[in-house]
Amino acid sequence: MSAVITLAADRGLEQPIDPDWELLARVAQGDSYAFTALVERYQERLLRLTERLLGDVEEARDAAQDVFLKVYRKAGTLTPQGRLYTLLYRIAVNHCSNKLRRRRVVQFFRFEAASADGEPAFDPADPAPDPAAVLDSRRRWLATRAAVDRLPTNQRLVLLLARFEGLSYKEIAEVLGISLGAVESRLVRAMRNLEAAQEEAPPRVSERKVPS
Amino acid sequence: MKTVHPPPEERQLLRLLSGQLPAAEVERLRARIAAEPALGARFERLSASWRQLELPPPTPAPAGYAQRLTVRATTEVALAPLAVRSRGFWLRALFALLVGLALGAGLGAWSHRVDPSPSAGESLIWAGVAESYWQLVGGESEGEGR
Repeated sequence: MSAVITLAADRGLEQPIDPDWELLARVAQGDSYAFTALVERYQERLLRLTERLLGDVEEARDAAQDVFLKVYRKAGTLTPQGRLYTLLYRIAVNHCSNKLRRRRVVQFFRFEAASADGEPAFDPADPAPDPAAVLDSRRRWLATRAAVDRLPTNQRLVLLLARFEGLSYKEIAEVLGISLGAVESRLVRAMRNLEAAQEEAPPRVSERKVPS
Repeated sequence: MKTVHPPPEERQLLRLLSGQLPAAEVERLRARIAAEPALGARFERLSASWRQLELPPPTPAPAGYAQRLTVRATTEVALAPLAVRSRGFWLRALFALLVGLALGAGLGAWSHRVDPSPSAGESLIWAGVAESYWQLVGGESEGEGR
């Protein structure tokens, strides 16, 4: 019988469906190859999530690293329930929320304004030859980043998980530990705030009229 | 504080945009959007805002990220008992120092209360300090050559 099924049976739980809990059970037994495999399987998703939440590549890598290390240390105590990535997301969201809270405190005591128009760290070469399209893309990224950063944390988390991570409302509720109704309310409020912000944004480069 | 719930239509529209609705409900909602101008207009504005939300592609993980992380994790776990021991040692040392200082201060205060007059040794020390002071301030002939 696999280690995960044994573990689940010992705790009186139904057998988990996600086979990745098997990997975690092997990590708990000290299998470092299993840990490498686990990281490789989830690193892109976690790095994407932490980068979206924190807006900085280096901070995102540190945060993702902290999440994986926490999972490594606690592998033997985690209860196999549902999908493993939901648990990873929950740990990552809590970790990043704490970082954002500390960042706000530091900014408050340094009298700094929150940076709302930071350059995206990744600047892919756009295959489209149209410079206006390239400028439009960058402008939308910066505008989105600025608007999302101005949202309250609880609305920002729901929006990022729904719009950019593609999680279902049920999964978002599990990750954040809130009700389905709360997920919907926060998403509606987030969109209303964003619509208000978008109305103040300048027109697209491609739509600007060139004076004659 | 009174909780204000969003209107059900707006929640349904967002469910449609975020792909949360089953196929049958999608069909029904799209029919309503086509039939009701106000709902249709609200959906257009909401979907325009939803589409405008764009973030750059995420930065890929650096090469060897998983392998380096595994080395760090296994090293940390191996060194964890040492870290705990050294932390305990320094805490005990600090505690002992504080206790020593407290005892010394307490003993000093107690001995002063028993015999407030300065001891012979103390008198000599303070006399020496006073002598040095006067030499510095006014006695050049005595203080020179130091």
